[in-house]
Amino acid sequence: MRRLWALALAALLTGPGLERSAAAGEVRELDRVRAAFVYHLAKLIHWPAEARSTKAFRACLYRRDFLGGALTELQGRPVAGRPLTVEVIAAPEDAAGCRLVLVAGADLATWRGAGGAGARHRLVVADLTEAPAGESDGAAAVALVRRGDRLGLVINRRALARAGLTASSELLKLAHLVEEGP
Amino acid sequence: MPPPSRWSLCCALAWALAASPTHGADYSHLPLAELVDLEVFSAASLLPTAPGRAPATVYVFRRDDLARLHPRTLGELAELVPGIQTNQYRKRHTALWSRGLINRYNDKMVLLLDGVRLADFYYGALPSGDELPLDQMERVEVVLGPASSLHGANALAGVVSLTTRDVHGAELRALAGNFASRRAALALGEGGVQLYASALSRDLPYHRDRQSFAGDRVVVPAAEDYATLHLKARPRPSLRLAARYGQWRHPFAFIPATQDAFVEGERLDLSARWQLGDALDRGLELALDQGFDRAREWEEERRSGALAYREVRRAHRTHFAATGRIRLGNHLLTAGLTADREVLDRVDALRLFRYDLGFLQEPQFGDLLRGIDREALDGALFVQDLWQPNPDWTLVYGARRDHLDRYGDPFNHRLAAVWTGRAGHSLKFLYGTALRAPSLRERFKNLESDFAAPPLNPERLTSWEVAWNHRRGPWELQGSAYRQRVEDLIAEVPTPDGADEYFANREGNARIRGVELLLAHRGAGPVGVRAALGLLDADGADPSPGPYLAPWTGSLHLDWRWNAAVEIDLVVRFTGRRRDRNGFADDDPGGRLLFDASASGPLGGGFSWRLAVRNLADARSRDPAADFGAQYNPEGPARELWLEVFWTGRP
Repeated sequence: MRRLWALALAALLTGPGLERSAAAGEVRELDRVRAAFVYHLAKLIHWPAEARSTKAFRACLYRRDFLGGALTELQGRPVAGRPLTVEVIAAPEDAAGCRLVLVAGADLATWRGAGGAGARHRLVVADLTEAPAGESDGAAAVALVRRGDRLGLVINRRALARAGLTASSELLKLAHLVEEGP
Repeated sequence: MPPPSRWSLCCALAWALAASPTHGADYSHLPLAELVDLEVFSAASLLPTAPGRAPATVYVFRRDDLARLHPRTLGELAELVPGIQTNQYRKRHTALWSRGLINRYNDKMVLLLDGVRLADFYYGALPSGDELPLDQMERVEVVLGPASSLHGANALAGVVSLTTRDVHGAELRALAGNFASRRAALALGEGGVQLYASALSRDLPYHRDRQSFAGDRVVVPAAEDYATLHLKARPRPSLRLAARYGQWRHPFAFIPATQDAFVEGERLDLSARWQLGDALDRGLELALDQGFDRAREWEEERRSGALAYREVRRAHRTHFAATGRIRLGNHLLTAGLTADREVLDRVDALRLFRYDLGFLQEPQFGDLLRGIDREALDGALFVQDLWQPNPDWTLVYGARRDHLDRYGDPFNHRLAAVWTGRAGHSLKFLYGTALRAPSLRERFKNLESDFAAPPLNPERLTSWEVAWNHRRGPWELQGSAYRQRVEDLIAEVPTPDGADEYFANREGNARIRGVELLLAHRGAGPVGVRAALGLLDADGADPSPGPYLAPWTGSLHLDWRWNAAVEIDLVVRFTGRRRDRNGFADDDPGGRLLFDASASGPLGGGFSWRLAVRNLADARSRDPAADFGAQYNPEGPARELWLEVFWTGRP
């Protein structure tokens, strides 16, 4: 038992040191995982030829970089032969060149209210991983959700079809499929 | 007991971590199939880690795997894990023998259901049957090898971790089959609340003319019932609450014709998980569980129907755990403590009749256990450092000191080095120790004999392992080779006067070596395949567990999407020849070859169907009665056929 207490003491002494050395602004691991999901989505959705004519694949974060820079770390990675670029947009009308728009769950109503849903050839992804129950009410074609202790994807096939996009068989196999909305 | 220098090293390691440079992992290289496998919200995983890169040998079954393989119980699923052999026990359940560690009561592994540990307090047994319906599960992970550095006592041969599903809307299942099987299950989910309920009623799925453990014909009534009710709520994203209630009633499957024997039990588990801070970089998870365990066994003399034996067992248990994580550069440090309080409320028995003696002159009443405190308070401290010096290497060191009221302060640790190549390869070097404290029955059984059993030591295991994983496209290959030494293996031994059985440590150390292989193909095409093979060799210890073990076991699964309306699945399970020591000539356990098949498909309107048959050829097989060698080998299940209709919809 004496060693057990010694260990507890060591942990207590070490804790504050660890706290101090964790640098502010460091990208969180969870955000890196979320960003990896978004990157795979970009690769596994099929865009029509006219949407593939741009030099870069533009991914946009609505209102704020709620992934803490994790998606920006992936800039330059190839998406269908084009480099990924990442930027933050303030309003839906700024999303004209965005092939993918990532919307935080807390901003989803604002996005919807501002007329952000329904654009052709644009994939709207809702990040619902912080929500108690992950459902997007059809505002996004794809939702990133919590599935137990893991992250998962929900694809709204109707919203995807409205956007004129198709998902690869690999993506359809791993995602939960729903059909919601008009 | 470790030398003090080990602890100094541990503390020094913790200090050294504070100066390490920052390094972040890049998860975009992982295939999407591995990303969805990352456990990112649980303290148990410590770092987002796909099974192929985990510092242990892990076999994962996702929901779609469970649907295709259609196992209904954990015992059936375990037969598809290379390295696990299953054994039909004479009462009812299937015992899981992980990596050659034979046992009667499933007491050598730890089972977690959504992080809550489930085990019978008296036998130490994890449930492997219909008490745990697999259609409720999102995922089943089977970790083979020692895990006591994380999970403490009894994680000797591995961990089975089950994660229940969340549904959005409603799901309903109805099943009917032979052996008068009737089953219904309901799942509802809306907002942050999930409800699951199931009920099963049927006859025991064995041939009616089977032999009892005494060699005569079994004539016991066959009806059995199981029910489960599980409620989960997430009132806040950081808070998870759950209540699970289960009850069961079944006869003993291989009881002599002189009596009928039954067991009924119920279990209630309440749990709360509160997660503070970030899930991966800096956080704290608090867990509080309260469990209530009750069981009653009884026997009736067959001709008169008079009570022959009655046993009542009741206990409750409180578990608290705090696990903290902090990322420090390329280290992820985890530390935690646990506290467990167990109270035995009632553990007594009344015997009026014995199958070999008839009705007794004087009824025998007394405690099932003797020399035991009714209350135990255990605790543990553990630390783990997961260090990624570069993207290709992960080094893990974990250590745990337990304080067990009844067994002292054991120490266990593990060391893992995992190399991950860019071409989908990973190579693991694993070392670890583990311990199993004897169950209450093993250590404190009140013998029906004047014989005084010698003191019993915990079982200890040391393991070395090399494992390889490769994933390329739809192909997955997994292989491991291990060597383990087991000290103080516990075996059941008849008392010198033959009146009862007691438990004793075997002489010498058992040495077990094995190889496990898994090949799986999960493509977008119409055909999928999964093949598993386990090879095993055991010697040492007296008596050795070797004769009871099959030198090889395996399974082959083929799924064929015939068209959009029908999918066909075929499963072959095979076991090499086994011997036993019971001395009876007419109950050869031999080897076995069993076939399962199913067809399934959608019906429209949210309905789907599955027609399944298990043990298609109705083969009769026996498993060795791996106890003290004087019982007949029990027979495995007969052919089971069932039709299941499944409906899913939004309320």
